[in-house]
Amino acid sequence: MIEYRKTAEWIGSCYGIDLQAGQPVVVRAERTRGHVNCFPVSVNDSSFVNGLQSGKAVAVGALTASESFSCWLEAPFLSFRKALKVLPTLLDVQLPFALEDCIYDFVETKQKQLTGKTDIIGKELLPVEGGVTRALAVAARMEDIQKKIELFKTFGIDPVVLDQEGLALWTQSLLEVPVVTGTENTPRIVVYLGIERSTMAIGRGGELISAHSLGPNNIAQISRLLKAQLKQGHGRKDADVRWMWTGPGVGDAALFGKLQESLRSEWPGTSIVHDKPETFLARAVATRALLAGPLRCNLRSGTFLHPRIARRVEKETLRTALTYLAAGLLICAINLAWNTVVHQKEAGLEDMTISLADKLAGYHVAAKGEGRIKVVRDALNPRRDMLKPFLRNFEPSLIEMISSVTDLAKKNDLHYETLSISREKINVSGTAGNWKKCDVLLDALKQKGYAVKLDRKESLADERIVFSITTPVTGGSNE
Amino acid sequence: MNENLSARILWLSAAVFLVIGVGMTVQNLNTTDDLYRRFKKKSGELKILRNMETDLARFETAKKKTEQIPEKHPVSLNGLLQEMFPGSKADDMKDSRKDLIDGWLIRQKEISMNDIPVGKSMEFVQKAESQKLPWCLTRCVIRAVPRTTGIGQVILTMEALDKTE
Repeated sequence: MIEYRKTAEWIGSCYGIDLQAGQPVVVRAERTRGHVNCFPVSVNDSSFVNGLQSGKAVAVGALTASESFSCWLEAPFLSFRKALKVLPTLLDVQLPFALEDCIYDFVETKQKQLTGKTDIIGKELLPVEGGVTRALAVAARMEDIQKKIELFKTFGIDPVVLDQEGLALWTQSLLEVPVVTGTENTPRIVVYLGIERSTMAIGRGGELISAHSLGPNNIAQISRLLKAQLKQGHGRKDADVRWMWTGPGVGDAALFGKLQESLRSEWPGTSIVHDKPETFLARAVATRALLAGPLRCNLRSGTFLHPRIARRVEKETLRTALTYLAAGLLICAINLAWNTVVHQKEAGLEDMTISLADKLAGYHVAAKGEGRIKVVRDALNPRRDMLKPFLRNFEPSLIEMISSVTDLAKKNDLHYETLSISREKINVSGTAGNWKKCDVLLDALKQKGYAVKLDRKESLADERIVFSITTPVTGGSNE
Repeated sequence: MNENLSARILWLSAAVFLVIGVGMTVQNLNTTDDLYRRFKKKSGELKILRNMETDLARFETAKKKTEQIPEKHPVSLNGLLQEMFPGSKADDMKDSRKDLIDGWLIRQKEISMNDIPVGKSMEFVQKAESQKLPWCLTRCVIRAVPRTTGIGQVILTMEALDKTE
């Protein structure tokens, strides 16, 4: 199977070649801003020869419908990977020659979920669970590919791409005359009338159904093929089709007119002749080579792979490897940078801590963590104790606290018997007018930062509440 | 052949570096929690030390400001007492001293007065505290006299800084 599907998208210009009666019809195609412009060129033109020799342009051609094969296959798997295992076998059954003797590819696949019964071209199948994968297969005998390459070489041309004629005609017809909205179900028939051959591509809307090589008695053959390919279920056939004509043969007005008339009687519909029909196929293969799109294929593959493509594949492989290598190096570099930054930050933090601890303690503190804090605190405490009296001079006076406590007494009917107060402790005992007024004093003292508790009891004599607010004794004082 | 070898070496190197890179990333991600804890711990430690530094700076600033006061000795508390309560004296007075640093010492006096107007005793404290080198009230005990308002036993503990040199 073809492993390199890209055609010549990596190059900006190419020569599309259609061999008509053994003579090459050449167009030069140039890609500009996503569009391809084609100009007819003589095979004897020096620019054609020089362009190919210089490597700035490549030559692309096609295998005719008689030299190749295309058909839709259906595998009973929704997964393409599973379907790919059986598609070659299904193709082998369809081919008139051995699969091993040909180059083949599956250029388009569609997955279809199935529910209930499925019906394919009039045949009813048993109920199917899951889905199917439909694939468009193209194939050509190696012998035919070799012959084609040698035929091109007789003209001094070494085509990089060998397309498939039927697919090329179909996609170019859609490109030059797109599907009109509302006619997605209208059959389109692209007929290439060549000098020594004819080809027909049948489809519906934008979807290709099949491509066929036409013999000399092509009217009957066309009719038969259309009946077979466009037949709906229940024996109906489409009455309205879109005829697209191209190829050098449309220039023969008498023959072309007769053909049109015969076919239109059985298959009426619109009839359009593509612009510049004599170079249509050459334009088709060139456009498909330069622009990405559906149904692209290159049958010059496997052992026939053009050296230029082979080098391209190698370069891309190397580029991919380099990309992965760069990604790997980048990830490693990011991680190393991260580790470095983290260690630097951590070391910086540790240095700051050591420096500050040493400064506060007045000597180097070897301990770490909580031990270091304890050492520094132990070193600082004596000095703090010495300096406390100096700070006391600038703190609010204790009188303010006393004043606040006595104000509360006036406002809340509290009679103090004893009041002992310092910055760390307070003990108040006395009587209150009611139970709640003790809480007012308690809350006020707590708000001022005293850790106090309240004891109170009813006094039987004057119905006043006897209370006592004290600071419980703790292990050490905290300032 | 050489090209094939180069391609293989390139792919092998890419695989090696990707594996190493992913491995390093996984390891770093796994150590993120531990890293966070370490940083949090160290930051916490530094914060505590900085708080200690700020706290100490407050004390040092207070000492510097005290040293800028021209007066180096506190007024006589006895003198102030005589001014506020002429003709009376404290029922009890205790005196103590304690050396501090740099030639400074702290003088502490405990004054006990019975049956004294509490409001007047607070005025006395205010006057003592308003001196340039103040006497600061550090503890106050007030015991009310039964069936009287505003009169009680007052015990004042006061401190003042004094420079010996």
